[in-house]
Amino acid sequence: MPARTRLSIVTPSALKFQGEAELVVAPGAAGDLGALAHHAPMLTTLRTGVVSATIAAGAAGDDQSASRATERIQFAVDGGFMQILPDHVVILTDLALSRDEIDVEAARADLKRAEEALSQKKGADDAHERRDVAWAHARLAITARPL
Amino acid sequence: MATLRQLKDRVRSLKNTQQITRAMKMVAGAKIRRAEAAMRAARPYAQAIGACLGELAKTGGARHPLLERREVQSSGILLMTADKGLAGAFNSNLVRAALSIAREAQRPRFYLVGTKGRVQVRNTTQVIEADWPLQSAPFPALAREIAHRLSDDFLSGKVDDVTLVSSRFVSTIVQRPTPQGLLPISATGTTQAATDRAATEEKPGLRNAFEFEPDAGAVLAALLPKYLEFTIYQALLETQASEFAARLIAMTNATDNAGKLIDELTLVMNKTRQAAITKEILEIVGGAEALKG
Repeated sequence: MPARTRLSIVTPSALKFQGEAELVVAPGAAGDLGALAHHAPMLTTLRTGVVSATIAAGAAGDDQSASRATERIQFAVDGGFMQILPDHVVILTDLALSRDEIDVEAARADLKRAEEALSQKKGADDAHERRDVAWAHARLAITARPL
Repeated sequence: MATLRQLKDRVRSLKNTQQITRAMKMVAGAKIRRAEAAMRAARPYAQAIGACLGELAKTGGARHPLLERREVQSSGILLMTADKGLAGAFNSNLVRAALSIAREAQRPRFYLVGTKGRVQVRNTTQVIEADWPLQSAPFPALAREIAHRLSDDFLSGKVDDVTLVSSRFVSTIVQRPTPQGLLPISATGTTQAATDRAATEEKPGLRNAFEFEPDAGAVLAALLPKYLEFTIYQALLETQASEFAARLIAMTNATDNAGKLIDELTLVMNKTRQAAITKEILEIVGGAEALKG
């Protein structure tokens, strides 16, 4: 069984997830990056996108169950930071939504609106619009296909 | 002495008042629980963001305009109060704390959150730069708006430092107006988040050489505005919880006092009625005696 690292996903309004994870993949500033246990200490900004993690199956945070079964969890995150320590990964973000919390219809509508807004900007200072599009994409990405 | 009718009217009016204060007390009690839960939920984030900032501070050469200390020609004061009164001295205590800071500051400029604070500060000669009602937006959005405004004014040189005056929620009984430096941000951290970090996160040997991606400067530039925003968000939560707690206490006292007055007046009322009856009996007896005569 691979070594595990503790994963916390925190937002200002809640601790969204805490538990043992084998692998954490997050949209880092310089490209997606994965963190296993014993990763070198690191602090990075995150892009808007999808954080996924492989965690032990069953109750989250239950490290007693030494079963080999694992499951994947995914969160759409709206930017933020990731702090990696050898035994702990902390993801700090304004918003983190799990599969169950996402309204697919609303996300689709947001995507359409955001893409229209982006196309009207035509390149000039469109960071905000790009972010909106990315956020809608992230939400749709984790609801679109089964885990 | 008041007539029976007058006494009855007063007791009835007191009972009405008591009903209202009791209802407000129960509403405040229910809201405190929610506000406290929101405060608790914000704690893990406070620890984590404090830890990140501490890590950056340790790298030494942390430089950013929001960290820059300069000669103070104008001080900004961000004062947080409630939108409503009926909470004892809650709002006045906060305003008094802010005004006493303003007296010692260079050319103070006020940024006000909460309608009550605005009303009170407007009656002074202080300069008001901006104001927001406490309930004007959900707290995360409100905190973002305030943070933007403050950092804009700080970076443009309109104000050279910003002090936050808000209420610290110590317990349901104790809420304390507390000033805290907001800008420039002190990277070593005088704030709660940083002390939390020190308390929970010191593991020697584990954390020496941190890598930063894209680089330390970029992470810092992204982190500092978030940190400012979050500090304001936390202060909003605490001020609101404090408001409810202060109102709970004020309304508990009001309900008790109304109860005491009702008891006293009821006694007087009963005595008055008894006195009238006694007097009537005496008159009848006296009359009967006279007829016998």
